[in-house]
Amino acid sequence: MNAPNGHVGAVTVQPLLSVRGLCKHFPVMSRGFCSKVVAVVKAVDDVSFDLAPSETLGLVGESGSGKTTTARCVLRAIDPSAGEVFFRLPDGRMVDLATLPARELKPIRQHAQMVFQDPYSSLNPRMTVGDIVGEPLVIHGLARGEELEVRVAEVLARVGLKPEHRLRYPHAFSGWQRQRIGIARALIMKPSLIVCDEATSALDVSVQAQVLDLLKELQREFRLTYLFVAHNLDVVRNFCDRVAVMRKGRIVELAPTTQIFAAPQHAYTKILLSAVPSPDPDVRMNFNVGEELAKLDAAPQP
Amino acid sequence: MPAAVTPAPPSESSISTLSQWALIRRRFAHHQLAVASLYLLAVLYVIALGAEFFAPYPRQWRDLARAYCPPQLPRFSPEHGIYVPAMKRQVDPLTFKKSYIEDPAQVVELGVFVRGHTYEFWGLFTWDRHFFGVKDPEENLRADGTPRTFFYLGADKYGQDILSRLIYGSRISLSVGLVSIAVTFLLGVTIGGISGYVGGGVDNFIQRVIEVINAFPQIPLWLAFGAVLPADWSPLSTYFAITLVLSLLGWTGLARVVRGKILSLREEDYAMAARLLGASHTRVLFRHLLPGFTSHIIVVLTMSVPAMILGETSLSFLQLGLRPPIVSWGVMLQDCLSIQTVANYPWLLMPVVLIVLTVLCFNFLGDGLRDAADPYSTK
Amino acid sequence: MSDADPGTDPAHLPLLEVENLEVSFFTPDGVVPAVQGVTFSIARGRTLALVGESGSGKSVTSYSILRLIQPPGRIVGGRMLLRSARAGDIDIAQLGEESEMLYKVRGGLVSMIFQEPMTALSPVHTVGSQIAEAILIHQKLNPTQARGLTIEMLKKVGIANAEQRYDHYPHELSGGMRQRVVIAMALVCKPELLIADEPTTALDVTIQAQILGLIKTLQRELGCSVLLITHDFGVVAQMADDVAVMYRGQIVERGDVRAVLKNPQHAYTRALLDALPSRRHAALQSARAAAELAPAEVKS
Repeated sequence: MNAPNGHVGAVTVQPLLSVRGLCKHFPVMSRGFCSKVVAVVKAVDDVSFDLAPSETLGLVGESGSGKTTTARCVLRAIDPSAGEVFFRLPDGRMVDLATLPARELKPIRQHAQMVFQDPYSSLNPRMTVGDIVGEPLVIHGLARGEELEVRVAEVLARVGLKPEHRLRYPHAFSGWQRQRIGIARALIMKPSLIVCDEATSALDVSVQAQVLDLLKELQREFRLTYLFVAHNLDVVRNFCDRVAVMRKGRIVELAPTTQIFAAPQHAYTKILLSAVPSPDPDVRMNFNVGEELAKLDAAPQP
Repeated sequence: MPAAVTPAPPSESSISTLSQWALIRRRFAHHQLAVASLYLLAVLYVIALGAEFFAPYPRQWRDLARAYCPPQLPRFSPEHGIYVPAMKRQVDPLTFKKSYIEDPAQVVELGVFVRGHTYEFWGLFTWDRHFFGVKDPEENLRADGTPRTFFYLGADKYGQDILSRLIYGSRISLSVGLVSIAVTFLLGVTIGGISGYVGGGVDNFIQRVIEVINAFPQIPLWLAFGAVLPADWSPLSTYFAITLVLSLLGWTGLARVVRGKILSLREEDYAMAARLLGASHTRVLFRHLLPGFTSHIIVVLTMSVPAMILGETSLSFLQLGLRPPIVSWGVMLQDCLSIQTVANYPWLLMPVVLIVLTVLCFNFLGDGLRDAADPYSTK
Repeated sequence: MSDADPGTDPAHLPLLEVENLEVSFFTPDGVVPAVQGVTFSIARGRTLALVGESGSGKSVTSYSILRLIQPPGRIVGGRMLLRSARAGDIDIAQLGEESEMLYKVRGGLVSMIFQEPMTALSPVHTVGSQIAEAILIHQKLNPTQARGLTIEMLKKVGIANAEQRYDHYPHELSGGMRQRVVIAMALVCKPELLIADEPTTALDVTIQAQILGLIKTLQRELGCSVLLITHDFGVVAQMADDVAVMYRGQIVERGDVRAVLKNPQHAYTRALLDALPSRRHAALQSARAAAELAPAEVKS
C-alpha cells in the first residue's frame, strides 16, 4: 500500500485523510421491463484532496456538484466506483476505506463520523436523546450501564445540553438543539475525523453561528479534523482553513480560504462569490450570473 | 453579545418526555368516535368470552313450540317487576300460518342473575346463573308443564333463541377476524419486509405475486377453497381452514404497506446515521426501521379485521364455510336465504345489525388509530 | 368605499396598510398567538422586506394578507387596507370567506410566490395550462389569447423555448425553472402587490441571483409592490427599499433598509446582524488588527 503524502493542496504534514482519484458513477437505466444502462452520471469525477490532522476543509458547491456524494463516499456510506480513500488510524496505520470489506469497516467507524444536514430526519423520533447519543457506544460495546449513562451525560454537557435532556425525545427540541444532539452522537466515540454534511444549512443564520462556534471549540478541545460540506461560500469563510470548490463532480479550485475569497483563480469561483447577496446595501450583488455561467460552459475546458 | 434567542421549546415540558406511544394515546383520546368504538368492541368481546353467562339459553337449546316467535320487549310493573306477557300461538285456518299473540293473563317474570341451565365455564367451574332471563324457570310453567320461555330478539324456525345464538355466534365471528389477522401479520410483515429491505429482483418477484393474488376474483376462489374443504372435517378444523383461507388472501395489503414504509424509512438520515455508526443490518431494521411503523401496522391490521369478519360471514352465508351445528353470524344468516322468510320474520336479520355495528366500530377505531398513529405528522 | 379622501392624491398613499394585525392558533393545548399587533405599510412600487427567524410569524403575516390562514389559526383582529387602483379600497380583514372580492384579491390584485415551487404547481397539469388557467379566471380572454399571453409571460421570465415548455410538466423542470414558472403565474395577472415568501431559500446561490434579478426587473416593468419574506439579510440588502424585523410575532424594528442595516436600533436586529458570517469575518479582522497580529499567523 503506498501511503501518499500530501501533494494536493499544499499540506506538508502527514495527512489524516488522503483522497485520490475518487469517482462515483451512477448508471441511468432505461425505462421499461428490461432496463438497460443508457448513460452514466458522473456524480463524482476524479476528486483528490488531502486533509491534515486538526484541519478544516470546506467542500463547497451547488446542488448536483457532487459534494455530498464525495462526503458519503469518504465515509463509505456509499461505495465509490473508483479511487482511494486513505485514512490514518490513531495507531498510525493507513487504511483504504474505499476498498475495505464491510466487516473490517465497523471498527473504523469509531474514528470517522458524520453530522447530518437535516436535524429532523437524522434523529430517530422513536428513541430518547440518551439512547440516540449512547447508541455508538452500545454498537461498539464500549460502555454499558452506569458508565454509558455517565458518558452520555458528559458529552451532552459538552455540547451544551443538560443531563436531564437524556430522557426527552427529539420532537421536544428546536432545530439547533437537535443539531447539538447530532454532534454529541458523532463526538461520543472521540473520532478523529468528522464529516459535516451541510451541518448548518437547515438552520437560521443566528443559530448557524452558534453551531459553528461549538464545532470550532470542539475541534480545539478534541483535535478534530473536519470535512465541511456546504453550499454556501459565506458559511465556510470563518470556519475552514482551506476550501475546495466543486462543480459537476470535479474540484475546480482548492486553496486556502483567505486566498479563495481575496483572489479567486477559477472563473466559477468568481461567479459563485459574486452571486452571494451581501448584507451591505452598498455592495451590489451580481444578478447576471446566468449569462456568465452559460459563457463559462461554452468556453473550452482547460 | 449573546446572540439570538431561539423560540423556547413548548412550555409543557411534560410533552417532551412522552414516548411515541404516549403521544399516540393522547391524540387517540381526542377522537371520540374511535374511543366509543373501542369501548363498544370491548363490550362485544367480553360478552363473546362470557357467552355461557350472558346468553339466556344454551347454544343448542330449542323450544319447538315457539318456532318463529317474534321479539318480546320486556316491560315493567310494580307488581311483577320486569316481565313479558306470555305468547299464545294461533294458526290461521286458511293459510296455516302460525302467528303469536300476547296473552295478558299470563305473565313471565324476568330477572338478572337468574338461575337457569347449568353450564361449564371454560372448563373452570360449573354454574347455573345467567345474566338475564326467566325468573325461576322450574316454577314458571305452562299449562302443559313445559317451562315458559322468553325471546328477547325472537326465535328461529326451530324455536332457538336468536339472542343466545348471536352471543354464541359472536365467539366465532369476532375471533375469526383476530385469528386471521395474526396469520396475516406474520405473512405480511415477513414477505413485505423481505421485499422492501432486500429489494431488486426479489422485490420485483414478490410484487408481481401480490398483483396476481389481488387480481383473482374472490368469490370463485372461495368456491374453490370451499369445495376443497372435506365435509367430514370437525368444526374446529373447518374454522381454522376458513381463517387460513381469509388470511392467505388478505396479507397482500399489509405486505405492501410494510414494503413501502421500509423503502421510505431506509432513505431517512437516521437509518444512514445508524449504518455509519457501525450498526448491523439487523440492528438498523429492528431498532430503527420497524419501530417507525409498528403503529401503521396496527392500523392496517385493525382496518382489515372487518374484511375478515365480512369474509367469514359471506363464506358461511354462501354455505362454503362453517356449517351448522356451528353457530356464527354467517351461519345464522343462512336462514335468510329466502325472501319470504325475511319478509315474514324480519328478526332473523339481527346478525346483520351486529355485523354492521362491529364493522363500523373497527373502521372508526382504525380511523382514530390512523390519525393518532403518527404523532409527528402535524408538528 | 373608494375615494373617501378626495383631497389627497391616492397615488401617494401606501398600497397596503396593515394595522394591529393579530393572528392566533387555537390548539387543543391552548391559544398560541402567532402575530401580535403587527403594523406596517407598503408604498406603491417599493419593496418591503419582512425579515426574521423561523417561527417569528413572518410567514403567518404574509398568509394573512391573502387570508390563507387555515384553522386552527384565525385572524382575531386588525385591519389590512389595500388601496387598489383597479378595485378601490378594500379591507382584506373584513372580506367574507366566500366573497367575490376575496377571489379577486387572491391571484388578481395580490399574488404570491412560495418557497417551494412544487407546492404551488399541480403535478398533473402542464405548466402552460396552469398559467393559462390563472389568466382565464381573472381576465376576460379566450383560451387562444390566454395561451399566447402565457407564452409571452414564460419568455419574459427567461424560459427558453417557451412554446415547448408550455406543454411540460413541473417535474420535468429544474428547481430554478419551476420558480420562474411560479413567478410567471404570479405576475401574469399584473398584480398590484406581489408577496414573495422565501422565494429563493430552497435554491442555489447562482440560481438565487438569477431569480432575485428577475423579480427586480419584472417589478420595475409592472410597477407592482413587493412584500419579500426572508431570513437572509443579504437578500434584504440587495432587494428591499424598506425593512421590518419580526421577532416572536411582533415587529421590533422598521425603517429604510440602509438605516436599519447600517445602524440598527433594536438589540435583536443587532444580534441578528452580528451573527452573519461576513460581519463575523469583519469582526475577526478588526480583532486581529487590534492584537497587531498578521492574519497569516492566526491559527483559528
